[in-house]
Amino acid sequence: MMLFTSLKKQVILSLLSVSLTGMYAQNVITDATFSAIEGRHIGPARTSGRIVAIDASDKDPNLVYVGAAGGGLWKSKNQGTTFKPVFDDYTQSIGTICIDQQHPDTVWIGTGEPWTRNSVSIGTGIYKTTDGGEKFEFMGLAKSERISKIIVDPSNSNNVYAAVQGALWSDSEERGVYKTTDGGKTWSRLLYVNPSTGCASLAMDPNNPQVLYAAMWDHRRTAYDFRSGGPGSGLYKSTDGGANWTKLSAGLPEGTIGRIAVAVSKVAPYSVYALVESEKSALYKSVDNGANWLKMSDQNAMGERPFYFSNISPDPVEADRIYKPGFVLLVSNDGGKIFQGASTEGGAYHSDTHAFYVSPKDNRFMYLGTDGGVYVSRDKGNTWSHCENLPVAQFYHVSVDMQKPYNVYGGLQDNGSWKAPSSNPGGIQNADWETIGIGDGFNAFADKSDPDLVYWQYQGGRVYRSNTKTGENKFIKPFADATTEDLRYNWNTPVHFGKKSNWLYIGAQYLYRSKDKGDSWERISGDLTTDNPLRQQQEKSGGVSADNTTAENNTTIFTISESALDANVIWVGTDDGNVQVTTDGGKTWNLVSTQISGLPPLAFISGIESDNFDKAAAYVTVDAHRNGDMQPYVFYTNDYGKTWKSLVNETVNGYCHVIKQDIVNSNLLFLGTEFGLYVSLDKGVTWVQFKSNIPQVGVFDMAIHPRDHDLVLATHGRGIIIIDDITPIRNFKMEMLEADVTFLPTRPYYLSSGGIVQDFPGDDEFVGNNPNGSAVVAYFMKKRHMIGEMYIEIYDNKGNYIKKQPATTRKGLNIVRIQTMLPPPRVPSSPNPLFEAAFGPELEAGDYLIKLIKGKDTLSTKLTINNNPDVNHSAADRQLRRESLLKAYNLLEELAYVDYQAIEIRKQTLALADSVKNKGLRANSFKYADKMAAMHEKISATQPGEGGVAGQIRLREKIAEVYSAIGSYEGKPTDLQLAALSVYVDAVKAMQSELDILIKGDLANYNAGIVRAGLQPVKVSDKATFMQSK
Amino acid sequence: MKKLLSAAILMLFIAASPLKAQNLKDVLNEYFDVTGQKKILKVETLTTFGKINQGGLEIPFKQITARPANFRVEGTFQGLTFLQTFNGTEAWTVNPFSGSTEPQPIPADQLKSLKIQADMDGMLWDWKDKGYSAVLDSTEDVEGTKCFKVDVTIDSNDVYTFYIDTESYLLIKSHAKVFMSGQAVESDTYYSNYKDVEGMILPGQIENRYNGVTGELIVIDRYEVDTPYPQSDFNKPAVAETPVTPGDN
Repeated sequence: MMLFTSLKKQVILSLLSVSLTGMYAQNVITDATFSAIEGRHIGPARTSGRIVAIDASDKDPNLVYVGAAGGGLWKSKNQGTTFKPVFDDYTQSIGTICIDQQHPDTVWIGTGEPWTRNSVSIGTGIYKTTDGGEKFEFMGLAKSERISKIIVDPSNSNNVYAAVQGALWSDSEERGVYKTTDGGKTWSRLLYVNPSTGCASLAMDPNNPQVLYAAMWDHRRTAYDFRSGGPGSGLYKSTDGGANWTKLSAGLPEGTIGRIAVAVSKVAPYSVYALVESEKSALYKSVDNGANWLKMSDQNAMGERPFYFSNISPDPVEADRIYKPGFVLLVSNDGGKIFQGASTEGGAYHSDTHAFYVSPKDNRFMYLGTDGGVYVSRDKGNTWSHCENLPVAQFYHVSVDMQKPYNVYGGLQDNGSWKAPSSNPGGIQNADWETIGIGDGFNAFADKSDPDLVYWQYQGGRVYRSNTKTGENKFIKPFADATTEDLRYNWNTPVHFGKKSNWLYIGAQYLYRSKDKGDSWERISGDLTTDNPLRQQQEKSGGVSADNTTAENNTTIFTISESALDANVIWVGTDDGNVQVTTDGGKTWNLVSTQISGLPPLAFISGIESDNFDKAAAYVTVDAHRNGDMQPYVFYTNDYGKTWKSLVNETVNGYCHVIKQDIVNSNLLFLGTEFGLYVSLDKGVTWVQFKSNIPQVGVFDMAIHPRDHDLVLATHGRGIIIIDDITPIRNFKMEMLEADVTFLPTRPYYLSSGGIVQDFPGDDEFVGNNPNGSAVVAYFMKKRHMIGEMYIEIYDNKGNYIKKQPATTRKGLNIVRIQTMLPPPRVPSSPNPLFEAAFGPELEAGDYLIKLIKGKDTLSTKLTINNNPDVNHSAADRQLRRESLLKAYNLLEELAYVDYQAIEIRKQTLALADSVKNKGLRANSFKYADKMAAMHEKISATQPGEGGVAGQIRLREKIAEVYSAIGSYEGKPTDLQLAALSVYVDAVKAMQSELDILIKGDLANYNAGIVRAGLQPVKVSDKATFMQSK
Repeated sequence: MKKLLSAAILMLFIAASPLKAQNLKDVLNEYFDVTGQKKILKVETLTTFGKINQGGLEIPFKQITARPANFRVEGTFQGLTFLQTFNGTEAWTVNPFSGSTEPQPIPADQLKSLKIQADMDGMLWDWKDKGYSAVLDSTEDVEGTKCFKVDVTIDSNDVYTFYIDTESYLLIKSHAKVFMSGQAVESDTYYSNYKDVEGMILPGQIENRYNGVTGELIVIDRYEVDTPYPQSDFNKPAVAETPVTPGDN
């Protein structure tokens, strides 16, 4: 070992002088390869998104965990003032949260949302943290799909119960009540009914952990139907820790039962509540530990969408106070007989309430999770404040416009349609998000020719064209006419602007096209679906409780893609498995999905991307999860659908929503699945997950900005995520993997003023980051640089050296921000900083040479700095500004030299005053010292400014203000800026002249006397030496 | 050519090294050997000269670490000097950019990070004797480079994680989770551009990131070994002098 380690040290040392090549194993692209480019989350948090589960510490309710439907798990230590995501490496669909109240650093997470709407995601099992969310460990139940409740035995933290609701879209054996007695290492299934029945609710007697109540739910969702209820549903009780169970029935409704919520009062544990979905849904109560049940209330609210709101929550302090989350939060103060809204003075929270926590320490304090995020009440639910810091919005689609900065548009699950800038001074704040549509939002677009027009829609194909200037909204959904059957629109109806024509398309079962922004429509197809009547019975959907909101509409068109090369080539995919293509603008259609080998039957054709470079080619994503098939499917054709090949492999995880082909590099593909974003550089042969600040969230749609080259993601749980400037990825070649260093291009860099902002929104508001505003240089390295120097030098286009700066050294892609500011000017001394002169002038527009020095190797590339094309300054004005700025810059440095001379003369004459014996020389020493002090006081503020508020303005401060003023505007300086600058030039000249006269005259005579006295004369460095000392 | 060839052959040993070092002791032994810990143990003072790049500014700095547990760092901008000193028990700061030229005491809960800075031998050396606990957690990928992950807990809360390259055994990254004023403060530090300093392999570039965003990029121009310093350099500094005070003339 000693020999070995010594050898290694020699290697390290030798690498300091030797560059090695060609001796590493072949590199491959991994999820770290492009990690220098990170996802940028911009929200919105103003609307937030659906919150599924909340748990807080009973001892300290400031500590709270919040689980989102598709946005992961978030932790707050301060009642929600700030939140931190703690579960980004796992599925973002949370089912339930359980803090071990005896050990609050231990938290159990059941994944897979139990509120089983049509757009619900899936879970991947149960997880545990023992360090307050720093790390999570997978604890099993991988096939559970959704877990509705976890309970930790308060008497033994190793005993944990999990209510596994199970698969929504198919039969499954992994359902029912599970228990571990070893902290999650092993699990036993304690209660199981049948493959379609899972445990939707579980409660424990707080006085006796052996007593459990389990609500079993027989249910099934398909693409075209939802069934709540069946023979498997029922309420069960165990008195021996789950070993044996008894079905409870005395007093409970007969007939088909749907979903049940069960809860035991913490303050009166003999009281058990069961909210039972039945023919007449009602709340039942037992006061004898479940033996007998009494109907308490059958108000209509007791039957509100049980699959979504099956929740009953007894107050932990007041025995007769019972809460019922639903469309709104209801409360009963008489033990469950009569419910009313909990809010009397307030209530401005988002409807659809799912998660609810009341503090047993102070029952006035509570958290509420809704379709629009988390709310906090401190007065028993009367009034609520919104946590506007949870960016868990669930987008279906996204589009971009061509404004500067560009805006993003998109629609959200239960939160309408929105628009926001992709950047904004100070970051993208909640207030920057502008509502443009209502309902469940899906597609939203800006009109390409009229900036006042936007298009948006809500569920079931209700499409509007709105004029943002006049406020008018025109309902432009195509209606049936005499030539058609009733139209069938998907919940998420496709609305598409043609890539070639910019015509507007909408899909029902027929495809409609408008060439006049939706004022008139042309039906350009027959029924493109299977038109299977068995899949058109949504009016019967719901099971025990009818529920038809267009969410189960089927046999509809789901995706449309017009060729970017030929508007007559249009691809259509349906929600029942058809892929159709026309090459004559819709006159004739070919059903081509029959040609796809391996296509799962009757699945959603979730996305079609017509190839941007080959009009015969297209990419198709298929989502079969509604048939219980969670596998990814992507297919490709280049002969109008005659033949197909699969483009997925084992790398890709999650059913697929969308695929986008780059608009420049035909081999570059982006794939959005339920578990994140994947990238292929070889047209789908290989894929790599893009994980850099992108959680395992459902990516439902994407847009590539044609000017700014950003990839914009519509995530169904983490809002909009922007991947800024994909140019380096677009230009990456596989052979670069084996090269030491290779430069890659980036998008053009433009000088920009950046804007100003003064805003103090507090810590409880989400602010999305802006893109990097710097010039960048990108390069790829096959190996991390560890040993020896690596840095960047900047030269002008004539080869003159400007400055040196650090480089980054990671393996893979590096993005280095180039410091385009010159060094700050040297300024006169003062006890106070001079922030107006903290930065040097930015390099002017032009070409620059960038040298990357890596050990003994030097590589060069060009950097171009462009003037902002959106500001219309003449070249003469820019030149005047530049000259004036440099004049002010140089003036500060000249003044710094004047000041230096004054300080040096003062310092030396004061020292000589102590040494000389001659009275005249001594008097002169003080005279010159005082003179120089006076000069310095004219130059700089000398009063120390505690906290920077001394307020002394001297020549230094005046010149710096003009310097800053001229520098902050790219165009012509104001006349008085120029005038002031001239005055200051004269003032500095006058001071230097005064010094020159002194130095050559009186001071020279004084120095002669000093020399005669045998002492060292006063000496100051010349200007060149002074400047070099910089 | 001969030198290149021999270096290439030796690299084969490096590539095989992960198989050799699979426990904490082996990993740390390799790390200490590669970085010249034997030499570090003999060094009395280490002075670092460089520049801090922060928010577009480049600030020259000088940092001194001196046995037994002294530390001093000073940075100068616009002729004003930011200063921090630590003498093993107390620490002070002078920050003219906040408008004050007088030294201010550094709160007790910030002293622990200065103690770590002042530890010439590094946190990983003699960790047991220092009362720390250390575990080899696993291997983890750091920006595409496989690393050994060593967790060091210095008290009940503060945890430092070191990511040591499985090939070169040089430190690539450290993560700190330190509690200050009752709140956890986390940061990542990345190391590169290592250089040979009289037998020690020391980083030439250090990058601090907070929440994934670069805070400071520190370029080290040179190290100086065993420059003598008086103890007063690490004690409470004097009030910063100004060239002229009001009323001087």
